[in-house]
Formats: sequence, C-alpha cells, structure tokens
Amino acid sequence: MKVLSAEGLRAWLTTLIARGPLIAPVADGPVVRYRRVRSTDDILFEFGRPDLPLKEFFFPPTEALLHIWQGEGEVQLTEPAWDEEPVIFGARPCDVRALEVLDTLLLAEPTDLYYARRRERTALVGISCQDLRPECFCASVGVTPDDPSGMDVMLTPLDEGYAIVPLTERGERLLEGVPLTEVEGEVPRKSWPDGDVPLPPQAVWAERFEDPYWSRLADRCLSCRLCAYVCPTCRCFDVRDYSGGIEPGAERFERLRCWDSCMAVNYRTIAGGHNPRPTKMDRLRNRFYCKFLYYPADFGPVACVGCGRCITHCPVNVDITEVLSEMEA
Amino acid sequence: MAETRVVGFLCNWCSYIGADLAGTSRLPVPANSSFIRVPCSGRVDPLIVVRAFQSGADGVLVLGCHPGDCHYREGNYYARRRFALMHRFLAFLGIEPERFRLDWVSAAEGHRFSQITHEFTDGVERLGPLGLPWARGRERGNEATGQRGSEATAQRVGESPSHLETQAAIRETARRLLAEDRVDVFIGYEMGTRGTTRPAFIYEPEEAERLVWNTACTHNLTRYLRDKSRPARRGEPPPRIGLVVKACDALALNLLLHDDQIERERITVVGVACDGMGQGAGFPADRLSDEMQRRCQECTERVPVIYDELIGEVGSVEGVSRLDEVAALEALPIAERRAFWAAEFDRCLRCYACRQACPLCYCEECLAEQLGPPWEEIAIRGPENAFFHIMRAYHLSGRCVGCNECARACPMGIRLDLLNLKMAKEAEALFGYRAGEAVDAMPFLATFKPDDDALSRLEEPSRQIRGERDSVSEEGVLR
Repeated sequence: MKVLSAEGLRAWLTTLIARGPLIAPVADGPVVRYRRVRSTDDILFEFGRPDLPLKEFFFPPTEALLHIWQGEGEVQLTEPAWDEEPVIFGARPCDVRALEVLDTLLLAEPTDLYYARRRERTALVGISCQDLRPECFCASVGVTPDDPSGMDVMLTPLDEGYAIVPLTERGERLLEGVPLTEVEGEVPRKSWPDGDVPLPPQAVWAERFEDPYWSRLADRCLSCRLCAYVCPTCRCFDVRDYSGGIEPGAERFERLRCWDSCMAVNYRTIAGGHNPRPTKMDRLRNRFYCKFLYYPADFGPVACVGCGRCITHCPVNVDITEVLSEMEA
Repeated sequence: MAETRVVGFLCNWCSYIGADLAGTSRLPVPANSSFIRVPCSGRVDPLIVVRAFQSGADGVLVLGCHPGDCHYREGNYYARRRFALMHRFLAFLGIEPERFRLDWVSAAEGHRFSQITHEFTDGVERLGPLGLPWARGRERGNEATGQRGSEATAQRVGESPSHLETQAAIRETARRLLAEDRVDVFIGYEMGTRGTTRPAFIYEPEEAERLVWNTACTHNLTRYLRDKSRPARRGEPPPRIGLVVKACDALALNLLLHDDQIERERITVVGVACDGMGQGAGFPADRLSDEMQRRCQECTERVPVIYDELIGEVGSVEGVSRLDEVAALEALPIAERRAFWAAEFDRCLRCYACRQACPLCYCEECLAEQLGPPWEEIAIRGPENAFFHIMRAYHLSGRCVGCNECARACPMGIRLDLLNLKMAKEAEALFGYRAGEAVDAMPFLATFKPDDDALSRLEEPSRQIRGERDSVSEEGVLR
C-alpha cells in the first residue's frame, strides 16, 4: 500500500490550497463543519462525524439561479458563473453516499444544472471513520465507515501517517508529484458491527399510514426544520425573486434558490390557502415516508445514510432509528 | 474622509415641516443625508431602522413631534420607549450609539432641524462608514471565528433521593388527574432513546409509569400548550391539560395567560420545586454533564410563581451568581462585539428551531415567513439571519423568561441566550420590568409614561442643544 506521512499530507493540502478552493473540516464556534480553508492550521485532522454534512457545497443553502437586469424595454438574464474546481478533504463515506442518493434525483433528466456542475467539478478526498458516534447507524442502510465508493482519493489513518489510494483519474492527477512511500501489506480494514436498525419493507409503510403512532410521535415534535437542514439527503427548496437594487432607469433582480423543508407549516400551502398537510403529524410522518417509501419508489435508494445527525441535534429526541424499529414491530 | 450616508425618518406633522422650513429659510442641511416622510415617529418600527443600517445607512435619525405635541397624541411616547431599548440593543450588537438618534423637531424649528442634522452627521462622519458585516448585499463569509464565552464557576447537579421522590409524586399526580378525568392529557418528561430525557404525553393513567424527574428535564413544556389549544376532533372542546412546570417555565405561563393564549381553567399546573438542570440536557446522554446550566446557577426562585399542585420542597442549593456574560460582551471594544455577533449570525441555518422551541413565539405566522409585506428574504445568509435574530429578540423583549430553549435547540450553538438576556437587562434597567412575574403586568412597550426616568435620560441631548451646542457629548444619546 502507498503511505503518506502526516507532514506529507499537510504539504499536499498546502499545494491544494494554492491551486484552488480547499474545503476541509474546521471548528466553527462550537460546531464542526466543512469550510473553505486558507491554511492547513485551520483544518481538523482528527474529527468525528462533522455536525453538518457536505450537502451545502453541492446544494447551497442559498444560490442565485439567475441575475435579472431590467431596463427600459429591455431585459437581460445572466446565469451566474461558477468555475471553481474545489477539493473537499476529509469527506466521510456517509456524506458521499448521500451525494449518490441525491444524484439519482438531481442528475436524472431534467438535470439540475447547478447541482450537476458542482458535482462534476468537485474532487472528493475521503477519510475512513475510525470511531463511530453513538448515533451512527450507517451499516444498517448499507454504508460502511471505510466505504471508498464515490471518492477520488481515499485516506485511511494509520498509527503514523495515512494509507492513500487514488480511485479515479482525477484522484491520480491530484496526487501527481506527491511523494508516497510504498509499504508492504494491504490497507488495514477495521471490522465494524453489523447494522441493527431494521429497514421495514414498503408494504409495512403503506399499511401503517393511518397508525395512531404518528400523532403520538408528533406530540413532542417542535415542527422546526432542524432535522431537514442537518440531513445530508434532504433537498427541498424554494425559489423567489428579490430586488437587487435600483439604478437610473433600470432595476436588478436576483432569483434565489434556498433550502426549504417539509417540516415548515407553509411548505405545502397552495394558492387559495389550502394546505394538504395541515398538522404537524402530517408533516412529521411525511419526513419518514419520503425517506423510506416515496424516494426509494421514485428514484431507487433509501433517502437516509445513517449519519445520525438528526438524532444528535433534535432538541426533543425524535429518533429516526426508534421510528424504524417501531415500524418493523 | 470616506463618504457616509445618513437616513432620517421625519414625522409628517412636525419634523418634516421643520425640515421644509429649514429649506425655505436657506439653512444648510448636510448633503449626505436623505429624509423619508412617515406619518408619525411612532410608526417607525425599530426593525425599519435595522433594515436601514443593513441597506447602507451609516447613521439613522428619527425625528418626531415634541413630547406632548404628537398629532396622534401618543405615537412619540411609544417611539421613545422602543428606541430607548433598541438603541442599547444595537450597541450590544456592535453599532455605535452615535449612529442612531431619536429627537424632536417641531414645525417651527427649522433652525433646530439644521442644527441636529449637522451635529448628527458630523458625529457619524467622525466614526466613518459603518461597514456592517451583516449588511445586505454581503455574501456570508467562510472564515470561522467565534470566540466562546468564558468559563463559569462550576456548580454541580446530580441524582438525589429527592429526585426519586419527586418522580414518584409526579407519576402519582398524573395517574390521579387522568383517573379522575380532570385532564385529557398530562405532559411531563420520559426517558427516550440513548439516555435522552424528552417530553412525554400521557393519555392513560397506566402510562404514568413512563414519567421521570431528573437533571435533564430542561424542556419548557408550556411550549406545547399552543399545539393542544385546538380540539382533537371537530366539535369537541379542546383537551384539558395537566403539565409539569419548573419555576422558569411558570413565568411563561403568566405571559401566555396575559396574552390570552391559554385558558386557565383548561390547565392543571403541577409545579415542581427544581434544583437545577445539567448542561447538555435533552440530548443523548453522552452530552449530559453534571455541571449545572448557567441559568440555573443564577436562579433564585426554584418554586413556580403559579401552580395548582406543588411537588417537592425548595432545594437548599444557593444561587451562585454566574459570570455575567452579557457584561463581558459589553466590555469588549465595539468592533470585537460586532465581529462576535457577525460570526454567530453567520452560522445560522434558519431552521427556526429557536422559534419553534420558544413558548412565547406563538404567532400563527412569523414575520420571517409572511409573504406580504416581505420583511425577510428566504435567503439563508448573514444579513437575513441577523435580521431574523434581531427581530426575534425585539419581539421577545419583556416576554423572554430565560428558559433557554432557543439556545439549547440551536444546532449551531448560536448564543441566542445572550441576545435575550441583554434585552431583559435593559428592560429592567429602563422600565423596571421583569417578564412573567405577574399575570397582569402591562408589557412595557404597550404602554408609556410621559415622564419616567429612562425617558428623561433620552431627552438630555435636546436640552443641551437648546443650551449651548458645543457641550453635546460625543458619547451620544444613551450611553
């Protein structure tokens, strides 16, 4: 196997910073999340599963879809350019699996061009997990903590340095000129416990749609959007136009696409004021049905990668694994 | 010197005419100022001032009729109260006090209008451009900053025999209330998954065994009263509720009663004498610590101000005065304070967990989400996030009871508690008001006194202008 020393890794990341945006895990106040870094000193090299997923770099919380300039008798539409070639360091297997889940929807026809260009131009340098958080249940949904699929380069921490494997052509290019030591032996693989969270079959979901369990569960739900916004696979959005300023004889507008969530009261409100999901029970139930019934039925994969972030952060302990166990029961 | 811009909101009846008079009298008015005519100074919501700062104003002036002269009789009295509070709050967020001024100009005071505007714009020019990190049109940054508050003296919480007694009493009470059909649902706490303590909704007497009492019963259950205010089925009356409240939670009950949000006779309040909750409460147990939450360390109440039944005795824990984090922030240079809040606002995801966890955020439709007029964009970035939190803090002024659910619920660890504490501190300093202590207390922004202390302090600069102009303090109006 090929090995890169800790200093070698820093040196490599320094060249990546000089080359283009490098996104890596950092401490942002009390949370660990991915941010663009300017120096390797900002990077956390030992980190658990970050508090926020990678989603925001492919599907940003706020993205301008269109710039509109309206003058007298004239309208100009400009699509915002995006020509960066970022490298993400420290991607976790669950988050990359989540991108593959999003691909099935956002890269299918009609392709989401904004997502597609970010996906195409972003390189992923993954790192296998050494410890799991108590909330992690990725094995139950078919992800392993050292799963290299979807990565361009995969790192595995060793006692000293990292085992490093380029997996794509882009990965090979990223590693050009990086001094790697050849060491005997295979990349070590930890053994991970099998997942013990059940994934109920589709028939069960259909059967239990009217179950009183849902309103009991919803009793304590706060109806906030937290679970959706920390989720690596939630991808709902809202689009609105806003004025971007007035100049003599003309006005600018911006068409923004921003995160939205099915947990929001007004999410499903339609013209005329009707809301087909009027209660928080309807909304909370939809969250689980979307992940485990509708999304798989429409696009293939289950829309949950077992990262456990919603469990970590929910202020009232709505625990997705408890819901799955209840459905299985 | 860099160009600065000043925006003035002028009351239609006095100050705007005063400005007109200044113009026709050929009195100089600063060229870098723009004036907007409004019906009354009382119509200028402080949030409009926040938006003005965010939209590029380096200073904002609000001018109205002299106290007693308002053409709507009392608009300027309300304005005076609101701005006294917001002026201090904006300084806390890093906007120098000299950048805002509320003053009075009558229709006959063209001279005074000219003087005030010059003086104000000179002051703003001395400070230079505002350069607000959360101004509109600035993308959210990528830099991670965020120095955290300093460590407090630790005070511990732990399981004690009295906890078990309290727990048994809560179960017994819930069982009795349900069995005697005095309530339809009992809201307390139960153990969830991964050692998490969470809210529990008990509908049958035999389910009461699920109820627990421990150092993680931190949730403010009064928040759920609004969910249960409607009938479960059409035609039925709304459910009767029994619920566990701590001293902090009970303050929220008083406010909800005052605001007609709940019917007292529909609710059976089971007060619990609380001796403090642990940090990390309400999340998986590996986050729960035996260090007492800061708000609990400061709490001296322990027994709810309102209850139908009381469980437990007053604990012997003495309130240790905590490190006053608000004072620590206030003592920072204004630029650091501004940077601190910019980093806090920048982290916000606008998941609205803070609002949804709050017992007093009961609006059917939040200003942040209403479609018209659109106060707030859906954009999730610094400027809109900042506006949301300022708006929420302002709307909670005199209403926040310090239960800390907003800060606890925040997945990004934003110090929302400090925003609310600052508001509470100023509400007490200015108006002697403490939220929730009495059910009949008039909210301080819904009333006014023509001559209380805070107001005379506000008027100081005006008196100085009438006297000799040079003696105006550079510190501004409200320092």
